[in-house]
Amino acid sequence: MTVFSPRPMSLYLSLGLALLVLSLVSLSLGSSRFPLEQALAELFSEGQGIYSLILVELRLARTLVALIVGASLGVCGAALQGLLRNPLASPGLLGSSSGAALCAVITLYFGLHSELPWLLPLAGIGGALLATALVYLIAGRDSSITTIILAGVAVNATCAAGISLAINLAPSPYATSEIALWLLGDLSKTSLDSLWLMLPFSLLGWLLLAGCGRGLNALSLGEQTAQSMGINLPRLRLRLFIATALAVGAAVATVGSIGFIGLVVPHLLRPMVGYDPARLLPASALGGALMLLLADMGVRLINTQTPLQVGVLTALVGAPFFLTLIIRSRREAL
Amino acid sequence: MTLLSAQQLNLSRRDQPCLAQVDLTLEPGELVGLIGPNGAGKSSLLQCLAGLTQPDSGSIRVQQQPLHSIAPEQRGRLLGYLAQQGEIHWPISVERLVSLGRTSHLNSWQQPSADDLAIVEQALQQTDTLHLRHRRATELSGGERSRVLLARLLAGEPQLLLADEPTAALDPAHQLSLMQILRNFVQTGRSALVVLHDLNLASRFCHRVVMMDQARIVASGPADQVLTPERLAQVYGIRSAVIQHPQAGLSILPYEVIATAASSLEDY
Repeated sequence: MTVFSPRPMSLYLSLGLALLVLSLVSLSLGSSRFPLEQALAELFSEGQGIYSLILVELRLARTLVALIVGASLGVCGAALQGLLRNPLASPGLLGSSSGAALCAVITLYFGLHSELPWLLPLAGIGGALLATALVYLIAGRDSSITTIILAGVAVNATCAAGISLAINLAPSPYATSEIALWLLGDLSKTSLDSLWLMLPFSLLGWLLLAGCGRGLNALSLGEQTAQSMGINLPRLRLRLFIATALAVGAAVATVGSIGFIGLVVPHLLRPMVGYDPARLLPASALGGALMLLLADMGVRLINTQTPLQVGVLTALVGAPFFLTLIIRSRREAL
Repeated sequence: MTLLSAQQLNLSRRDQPCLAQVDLTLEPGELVGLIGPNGAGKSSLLQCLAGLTQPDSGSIRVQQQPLHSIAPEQRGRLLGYLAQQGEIHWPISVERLVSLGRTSHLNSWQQPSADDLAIVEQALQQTDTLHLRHRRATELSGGERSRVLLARLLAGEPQLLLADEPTAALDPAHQLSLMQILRNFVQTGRSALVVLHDLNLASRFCHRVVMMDQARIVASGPADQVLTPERLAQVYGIRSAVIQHPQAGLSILPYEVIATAASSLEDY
């Protein structure tokens, strides 16, 4: 079979255009209906009104956080799948997601976040860095892929046990429900403050990943060949560990765990970039942002008695979608 | 100027010696065949020379510079290494795979230029794989795959080529043309060290044959001096006829496993 010869620029542009249009739609969605023109007019006039406040503080913040979180999950999923040469690797494989969740849950458990709201995301990012460092130390500098995956599984399992313990021993039913809902992923509580807090970590993570494309491409031919082609493998690995800890850690710390985006998006876009791991990085960032934005618009549009959490929707849609992809690729292989 | 010189290389894994006091030099224009039975240490030697494995002791110099002092990118431009099991993990196109050979010539952000693409096209042509350029690299036959991986190596334009059994999956016609490609490769003052199991290809195409056995180099020189029936009996445990053919030159015809070696095989 021949490979679809890709024009990555047109893919990036169409994803970017879709993002722009959907972001504008997302800004006009919310529980209170008001004329967008009036909000914009208020924005550009001297005095700040309630409409512009809703638009900027709530909707713009929510939209931007959705874009950043989605992009981080997408690009980190693509990078890890490239590093481990495994299409089933998810962005949380190296511990960042569960480490962030555990530390955030500990903050929720002790109720520290009600007095110090910035502590929750910061604890999450710290947890992500700690858990990823632990996986790195357990796996060792020159370890095989299997050792890295096993170290990740072990650290993730430990964090999951800690989270279960926190839910089990939670001081009040309110705390239990708060922890459980937080774990499901939620964009409704985001503000401009949370955006500013996560932005530098996300940007640093993306910047580190941006230079990894060449190494990931070389890894398509195996570790020995990549090294013989001049790729410094230990350095590439370290860079990817730090980048995912920062970007995924900041994402999970801000909005909770959101599954399937980092797994499905790279998988879906890979054929469209000719299976090229380097070209997949920007495509997955854009695709991840698009998918989370869509999911967040979905939870706002779907009317349920209790608000639907965005992580639940991504899992509900993502899992069957992933299943179809697997069945389709199995058919192609036959 | 000697392209590569290795002195007193020693390497052991789990107390088993892989390399013992190995000395080897490669001169410009030389195509050297590395032969020896399975487990003799050929692949370990190639990996050490490619800078992928650090020997326990000994020194390796490439163009007079110690190998460990050469930066990875520069090493990637100087040395081309073809692994025994050529891995291909994603169904990228053959053309894209071969253009990965230019990796060490480009920085992280650079896209291959028209010159790079011309070199890639030439490598595809040389290895008779131009017609495969849009095919998925993971869906090739064993022989096509070997040729495509060699094309990747040639596209890197290394000074020194280290190839581990590049002819293993090829039919006789492609074996001969691959060896001819390697002969042409060294003609411009570059050199190649190639692990071979086919003694006839080694004798027909290589300027020099280096024979390894039990982690040591046991013989080195022109094929007719190294590939003698006595030495083949000693190292491989085979009886063979060595024939001079008017066109093929020195030809080795193994016909029997020596009894002692055979009985030791049966012990398994």
